[in-house]
Amino acid sequence: MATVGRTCCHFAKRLQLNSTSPQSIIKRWSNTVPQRLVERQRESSLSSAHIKKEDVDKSVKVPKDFTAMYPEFLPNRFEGWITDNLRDALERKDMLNRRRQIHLPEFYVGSLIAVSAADHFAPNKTNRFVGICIDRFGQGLNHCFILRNVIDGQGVEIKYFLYNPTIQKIEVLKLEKRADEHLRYLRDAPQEYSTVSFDLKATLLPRGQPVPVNNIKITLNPKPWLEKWERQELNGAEFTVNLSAKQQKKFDVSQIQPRIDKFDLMKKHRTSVSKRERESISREMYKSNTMED
Amino acid sequence: MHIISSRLVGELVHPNTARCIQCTIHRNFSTTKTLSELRKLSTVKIVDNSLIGKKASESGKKVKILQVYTRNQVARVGDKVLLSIQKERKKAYIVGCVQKPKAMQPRFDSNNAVLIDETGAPIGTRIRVPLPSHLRGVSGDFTKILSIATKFV
Repeated sequence: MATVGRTCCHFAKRLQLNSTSPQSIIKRWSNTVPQRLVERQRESSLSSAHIKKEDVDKSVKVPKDFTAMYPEFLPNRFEGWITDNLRDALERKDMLNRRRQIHLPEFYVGSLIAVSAADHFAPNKTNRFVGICIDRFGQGLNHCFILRNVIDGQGVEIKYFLYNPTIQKIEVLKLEKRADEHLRYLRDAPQEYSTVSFDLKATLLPRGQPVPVNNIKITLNPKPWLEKWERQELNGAEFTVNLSAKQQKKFDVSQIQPRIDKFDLMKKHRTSVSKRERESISREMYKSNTMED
Repeated sequence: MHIISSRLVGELVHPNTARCIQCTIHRNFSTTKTLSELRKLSTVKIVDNSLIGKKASESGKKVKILQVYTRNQVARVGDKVLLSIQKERKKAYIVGCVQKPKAMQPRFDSNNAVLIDETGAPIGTRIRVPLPSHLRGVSGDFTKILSIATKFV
């Protein structure tokens, strides 16, 4: 025992001092929870058996695609971030407060949007930008969207925070969806696909009609590209037209490596929001009158 | 996920350092996005209607940055640079960047520059592309450049 005490770490030394027999060590440092503690937990008011399930108000009928209309209400499940339900709830409250001040319409990737924001340096103190929404990302108050346009042959993009208080007005000029989650490949496409006139007038959809999906196929410019579009499973982009024979060979379906993270079940579990949680959040947000415009 | 082929990189990982050694030889090979920073020897596009700028775009020769007059050696909107254009050395202001800006500020598809002479006045008489609106708030003498601009975004 003396040799162990000299060579071993602090933890072993502590054991050696307090213990009298090897049996007491096993009792004290075992991994099992004693029965009396389990009983106490069962009887306490904090246990799961005592928590009442919340009453679901079935009179409120939430539309099915509510979370697709307002994706920023869902909690943050980005990989590598800590989930914080309290923070998400507080942010939802702030978002509703902002929505009482300004009308933030529903829009999708692919819709044409005009944003007018406060600009300290402009002569009218406002700056209006029109463009096609190419990306939406972020949750809660950090939700962003990117508008893209081509002005005088120069491609321009601006990223806006949706809940930025300097935004004065958001107009949806054309409500439309695309087949893809993002349209970042418009940076590598001909300019005609991302040009939007600043004088465009808004066209309204009739009430109750579903949002139309634009199934346009865009042929990309020849390589080099900014990202590897061929690996991203895009429905609205044509890759193989403007390529040489050698480059086309690489585009065989058999040669493209499959995305492995698609089969990662644990990643899917970590990054997705459960159906029950999604329903409770959408019911909570839909109840407030500001949603029904 | 990027899978590095064994043909490109001979020995993948060094046993001791756990770092890819062969990758340092293949400098064009990278698994991450480019930062698209404007440093020395990066190319820019002249957007004013000066003669020398027109000649450079017609000849197809690259206009490169020789010196960046900032502390961190990276040029952004409103910074002064030294260019080599048509075998001459000219100073210019950067008026548009590909590099990711702050929110509410425009990101351009090309790196734009406006040529200036020794007194700081622009050589051309017109700028054909839109300029970022926050250039009006950047410290420096831009009044002559702003006066020849056509549009702001």
